[in-house]
Amino acid sequence: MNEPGKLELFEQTIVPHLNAAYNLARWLMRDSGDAEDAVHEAYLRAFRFFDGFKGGDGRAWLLAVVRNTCLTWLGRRSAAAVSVEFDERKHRGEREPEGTEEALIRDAKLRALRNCIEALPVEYREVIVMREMEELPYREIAEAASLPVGTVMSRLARGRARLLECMGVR
Amino acid sequence: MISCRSALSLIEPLLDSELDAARKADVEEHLRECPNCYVVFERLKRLNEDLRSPGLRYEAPERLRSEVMSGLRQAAGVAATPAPIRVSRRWPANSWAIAATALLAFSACWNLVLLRSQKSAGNDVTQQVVASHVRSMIGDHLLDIKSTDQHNVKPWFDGKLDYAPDVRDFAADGFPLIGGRVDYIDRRSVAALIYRHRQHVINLFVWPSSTAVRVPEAASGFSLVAWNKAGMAYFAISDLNRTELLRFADLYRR
Repeated sequence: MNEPGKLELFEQTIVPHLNAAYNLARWLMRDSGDAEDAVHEAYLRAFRFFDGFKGGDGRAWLLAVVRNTCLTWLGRRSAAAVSVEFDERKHRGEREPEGTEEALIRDAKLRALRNCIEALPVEYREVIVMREMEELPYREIAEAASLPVGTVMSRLARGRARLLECMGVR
Repeated sequence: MISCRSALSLIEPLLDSELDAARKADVEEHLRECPNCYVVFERLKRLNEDLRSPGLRYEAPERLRSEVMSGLRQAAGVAATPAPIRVSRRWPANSWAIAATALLAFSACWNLVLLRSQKSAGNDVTQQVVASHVRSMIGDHLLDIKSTDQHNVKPWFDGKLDYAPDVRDFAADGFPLIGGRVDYIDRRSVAALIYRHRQHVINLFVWPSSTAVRVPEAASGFSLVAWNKAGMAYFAISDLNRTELLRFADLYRR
């Protein structure tokens, strides 16, 4: 396929999943600037390897590339001994709460949940984000994260147990 | 009845819609009769709902979209011409716009023919929509095509209907598209798009008509909202409260 034709097909099948890509990257990198850089690189990488895309759900295929890009960056970062410790101050709620009491409670709860997700080890965080926010079935998570389906299930279960514990639900 | 041990291990696959009908029935039967397991189920269900709050999902900044596109164009060796390409993404093919125009003309004629019978049809249509919604909740009738991606659902309707429904996903706004099916309303085959909001199901029926569908705000305990747009009649029904259903309708009408 010539490059413009390839770009057109890529635009139709892969580019529409930009929000899913960014959401996953944002949760994995825990920083908006890093997430944007990772998504940018992941898209270029995905385009380069687009010939390997066999059709089907472009989202799962793209998320695999995004995930690998992010983990590579995170690995490089920790290898360079830069702290990847969770910085609570930096990750405090990003949106101002609305006025009503109900909205305040809901916002506080979301903020707490966001902090709990960010505090999860990355191997639990990635499956939780893919399952709960992107609603990928187990099989597609397994493909995107290069894991057996059984491992996806046990990581989801452990991730959820940790989240409940973190949220103080007994 | 299955043991607590197996029920507990199947609660998450149940919530993740990964069980077949028989397994699902087993677990649900167990949960009805075992308060201990039910507590675990409720806790996980609530966590699921919380994790799906639209406020937790990050949206890509618009700037990133254009940066990615220009990066890709560079990589493909295509001259940077942002405007036309961006438009073509919203309208995947020109034929689409032509088809929409043709549809508009077609449905205008169609409605002239039907005009006389339409007057009393409002109530009838409502009843049929309610019946279809209820039927869809029973057994496996809800989805003929399962998807979270409008790009799978839309082509699926090709050849099954004589028109192309506007299939859109509002996952980012908390109303993910979960699939579609063909149903029969008002003596014709119509597209039914199925959305979910938290644990509630929304059936959205779409068919060509520019005659306003008059519907009550509620019927048989379900909220109803109907509107017309671009030669199509839209009829949404759900057990959601009407305010939330109106929010969904607003997203669609936008």
